Amino acid sequence: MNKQSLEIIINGEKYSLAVEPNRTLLEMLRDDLELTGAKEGCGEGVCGSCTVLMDGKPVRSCLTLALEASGSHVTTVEGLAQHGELDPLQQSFIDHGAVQCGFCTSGMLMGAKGLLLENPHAGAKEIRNSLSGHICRCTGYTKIVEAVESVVESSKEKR
Amino acid sequence: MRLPPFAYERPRDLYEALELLNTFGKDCRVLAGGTDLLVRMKQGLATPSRLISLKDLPELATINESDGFLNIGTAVKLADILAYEPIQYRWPGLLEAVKSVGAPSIQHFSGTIGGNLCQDNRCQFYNQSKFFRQARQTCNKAGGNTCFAWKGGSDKCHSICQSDSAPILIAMDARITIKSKNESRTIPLEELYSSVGERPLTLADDEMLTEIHVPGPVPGAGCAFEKLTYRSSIDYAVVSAGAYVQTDGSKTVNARLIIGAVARGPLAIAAVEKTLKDRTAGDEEAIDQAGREAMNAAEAFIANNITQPVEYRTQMVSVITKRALSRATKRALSHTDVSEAK
Repeated sequence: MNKQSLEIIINGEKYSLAVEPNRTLLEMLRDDLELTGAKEGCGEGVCGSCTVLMDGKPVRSCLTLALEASGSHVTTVEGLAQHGELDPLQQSFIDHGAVQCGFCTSGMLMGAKGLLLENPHAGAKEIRNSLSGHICRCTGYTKIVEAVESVVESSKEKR
Repeated sequence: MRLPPFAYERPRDLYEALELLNTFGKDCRVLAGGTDLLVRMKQGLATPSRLISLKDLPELATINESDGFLNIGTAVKLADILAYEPIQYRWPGLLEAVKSVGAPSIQHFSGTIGGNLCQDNRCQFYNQSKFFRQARQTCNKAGGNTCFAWKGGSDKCHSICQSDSAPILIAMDARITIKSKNESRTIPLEELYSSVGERPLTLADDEMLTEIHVPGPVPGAGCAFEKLTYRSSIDYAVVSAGAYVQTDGSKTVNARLIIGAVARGPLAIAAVEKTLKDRTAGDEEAIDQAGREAMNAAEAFIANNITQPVEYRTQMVSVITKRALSRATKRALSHTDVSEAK
């Protein structure tokens, strides 16, 4: 199948690429660009481990064609840390022990980041709701929600 | 899981999209959010050689109100419907249904209202990997001639329509616009569904659903959507119900109940209107009776097509019906003047 060209901004960096139509955004990130932070769990949109931000909104990269992402700003877990400093969410996940096997973590982080970009003062209920499509097979949900809550709390204190 | 190869088209306007559909017919499929189609393609259940992306068609992605109707373009994201403020107090039933679809990260960028209405029917024996399906004969839906969901087999496909927005939109009497290259028609939403498991939609190969028209709220009327699932997100419904109840302030004058996730299409329960009509709105005995009637009507359709037992789902039709009708009635009685309701 013929490759088609696409322009995309990933983690602030501009890429001009040519991909096959059946390439998913996830395959392009992992296999072509070696950004292996986003994981393939189920491959059918059920588990959330492949979540990345597309124009600030969380999406399932396993169910998004690379060509459909053309012209968008994509942020992966690799793009969360800025200037060598972890994002407050990442630091909070570490501090709260919200990472067990780690497979769901990048998806959880991106799902949480998407929520906080939209609503920096999200309450526990909203956090649970927006992470509800993410599966953690280690069942570490409580610590994950606590980690996100603590980021909301500390941003309130700073103001 | 890899996607099979296909050609990708990104038309610049609706006419170009309809022309492509006209040229390639059933060899091509429309790609909106992809959360249903791409999964089926990965599993080898859909094999279009060409996909037509709706990404560059902003005319299909608008919400507006005109002539008393809420008009939603087919490519409007579910998250955009939730963010449309008037829906909160004017169409709360639709809000409940859209909220219950998938999970936030599916609703946000991906899932669209048109895709939710046009998703293919599902069955636990059909929506599986090739490897899983190889262990059995090919079923009716996959082009064979048997059905594993129906006790003793069947010459018909007993898959179910799992759209969450369809039951409530049909209960609210929504209409849809369907376009092809040479024609445009507006029909009641229920006519989109054929109740044929193998081919659940009445759309022709060159046609596309382009717009949904939802009537505005009427004083004294209310609607509600109820969905039973094991988990709070991702899961498809075990049973769902869309209810519309209209009152004159004390008595029910009109009622519609549509059950989802039990039959080959959204299932309208005609008996409910007769039962509730002219009875005191909110009368518990009448709602109990409506619940039993919905259960009796739905029983004949429920097959072993999802993992929950048939007997349990049958019982739950009654429970979900009662919940949906009670909430719709409550809303009807509190929204006697819609212009003031906020």
